[in-house]
Amino acid sequence: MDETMAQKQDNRINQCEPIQVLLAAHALGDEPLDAPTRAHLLVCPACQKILQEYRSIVKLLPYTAPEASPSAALRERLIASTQAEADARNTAAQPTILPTPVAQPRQRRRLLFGGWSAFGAALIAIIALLGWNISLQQQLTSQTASLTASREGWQALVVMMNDPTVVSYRMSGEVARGTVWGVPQREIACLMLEDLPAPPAGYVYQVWLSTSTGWSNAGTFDSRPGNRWFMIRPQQAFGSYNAVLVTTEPAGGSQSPTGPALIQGNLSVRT
Amino acid sequence: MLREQPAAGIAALYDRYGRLVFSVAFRVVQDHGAAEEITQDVFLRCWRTIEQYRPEQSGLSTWLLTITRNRSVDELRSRRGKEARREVSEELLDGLVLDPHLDEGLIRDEIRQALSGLPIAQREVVELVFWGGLTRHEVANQLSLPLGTVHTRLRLAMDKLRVSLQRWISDE
Repeated sequence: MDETMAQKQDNRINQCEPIQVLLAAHALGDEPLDAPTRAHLLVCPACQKILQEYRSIVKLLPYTAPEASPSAALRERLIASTQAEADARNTAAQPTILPTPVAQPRQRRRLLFGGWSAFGAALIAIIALLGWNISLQQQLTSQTASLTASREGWQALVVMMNDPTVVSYRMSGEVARGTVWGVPQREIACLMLEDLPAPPAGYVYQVWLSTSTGWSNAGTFDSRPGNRWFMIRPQQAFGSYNAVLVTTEPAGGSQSPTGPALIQGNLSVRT
Repeated sequence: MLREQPAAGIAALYDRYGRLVFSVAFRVVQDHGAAEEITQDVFLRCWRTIEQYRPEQSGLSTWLLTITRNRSVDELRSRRGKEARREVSEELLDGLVLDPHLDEGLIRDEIRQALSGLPIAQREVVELVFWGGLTRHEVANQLSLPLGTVHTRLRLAMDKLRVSLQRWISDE
């Protein structure tokens, strides 16, 4: 090490002391760090390590809060609020359901006296509207079922994450990255994907799990772009698979992977 | 068909962590009604922003408690007419993944013991910043101390905690 480099290092160490004082306060929740301190952090591994350790300590401090109990009503309020918000989102995404059209008295008179052609046209219109209404009702039923499935999935995720044997594997791809979490002895896993683009129109994403006999279908999903997570219910225990793959497939899914791989992961190398 | 999973395990999550979250909120705001409101906000926020949760970076309880503490301090500061702190950043949530099956009572006892091992003057400044939501300048004013003394006490306290809680922070 030449003299200049050694001097630079000494200078940096001398700068650490006052900065580490600020780091302690900052980690506890004090004001954001100023620009010179942040600049120093970028080049000083020792201060980075200390800040990381201070933050870890701070994250433990909430556990020291004396135990206190909320009212029993809070749980019900929370569930009701969540339900209301979920319903509002669901409603916002639905088209308005029109009431089944009923002929008014004046229309009835016109039907009675307007001849067979008018009657036929009205009948066709009513049948068409009835058909549309039935279709909308089916959409509503489908969305309600989806919401119910979502709730079950959310709960499954929480339970899975609290399983001490849960493991994770990194997934990578050209356009997205992510992690797959699963419990080796159980038929449950979860894909957590980042930077996921929306699939092309008419296509869905399909998840595949690999065994020694080939790929098995683990379900399809469509998605808005961004970071998303999806529960998977494999046919066998998650630990029996050795790879996971997501491909783009025609709507409805395929029997085996045919489309380009979006993201994949090796299930033998844990993260 | 796999779908996004937005809502509902909220009840299960609340049953698991509700009391812990409420205890933290109550410790900060010292008001039962406000603590319940914060608790509800925290779980709703968790539901809305679950995509931001990184299990590999932070335990679920740590994530919830960090949000709770920050939300509670913001509430406290707002009551004092102070500016709310920034939102919890990824940076703050990074690191420390506790085993979810770890006994929270064990964690609590050990950390309480570490805190009680600090000199009262050091513990006081830590608590004023962390639980009271005060800045180091505000602590100096409140305790009529030079800012440098507050700095020194904070630094000494955190370094002692770093040593006594080493096993928790080195298990990352």
